[in-house]
Amino acid sequence: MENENNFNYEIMILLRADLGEELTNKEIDEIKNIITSNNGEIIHEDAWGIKDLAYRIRKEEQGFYVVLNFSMEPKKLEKLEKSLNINPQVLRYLIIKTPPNYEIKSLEEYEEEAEKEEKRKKEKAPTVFKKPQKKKIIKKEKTEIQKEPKEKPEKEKSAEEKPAEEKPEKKEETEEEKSKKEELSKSKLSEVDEKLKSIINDPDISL
Amino acid sequence: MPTYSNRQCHFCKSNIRYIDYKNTKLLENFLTRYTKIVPKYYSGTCLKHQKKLAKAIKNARFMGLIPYTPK
Repeated sequence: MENENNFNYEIMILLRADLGEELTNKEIDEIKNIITSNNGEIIHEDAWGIKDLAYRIRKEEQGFYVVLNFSMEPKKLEKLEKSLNINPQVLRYLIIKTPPNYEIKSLEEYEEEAEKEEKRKKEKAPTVFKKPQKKKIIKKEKTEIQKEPKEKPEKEKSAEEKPAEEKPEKKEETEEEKSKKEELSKSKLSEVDEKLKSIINDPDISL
Repeated sequence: MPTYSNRQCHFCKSNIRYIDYKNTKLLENFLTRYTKIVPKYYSGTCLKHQKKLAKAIKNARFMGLIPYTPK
């Protein structure tokens, strides 16, 4: 950096696709001139060429992308922005202040990285294919589980039939049993109370 | 779109300090099929990187690299 006041910036410009080579080069040169005439310095240039847009911008479906890395004084950026705002050939632009540890990468490098990652994923994929063996074991378990319930319903049926026969006899007994149970429960409750009282009166600290 | 099992932040793992908006293939991993930003409780990215990611995605959208909505 020549000037201490200069900061590093990155600008992406979207030009119309139907200009032709001469006019696009002219537009790019004009933008470069504005940067260099304001004590700026162009570090790197990357022209992406014509690309499809993700959505329509000013009724255009394609655009010409250019990325410029440059250093400039922050106050003089306004002049650049003004000229870009007036220019009808520029669909959009984006100026970003790059961090100090920024590595300049072109579009090709990013595409290469993406291809490498895809290859890695494909290499990793075959290791995942051992799952079918586990599924077989699960199926066996399921069949075992299915066998058991078949036996159960028979038991349940027999259990259901028995109570139906015994119920009328039980009902007569229940009244007598209830009185007995109440007495038993009362005696049990009193026993428990006594035990609790004894524990409260002389608690065992040794425990 | 990453799943629940990838709990570790992708950017911390691969030591990425600056998320570039031009790297659209990386950004597409953090978009749903309706091109919305995947929340960090799905993707597992840390808050620091999630904020940078959101900014990168929004910049890429503005420049027509990534769609706002699916066609």
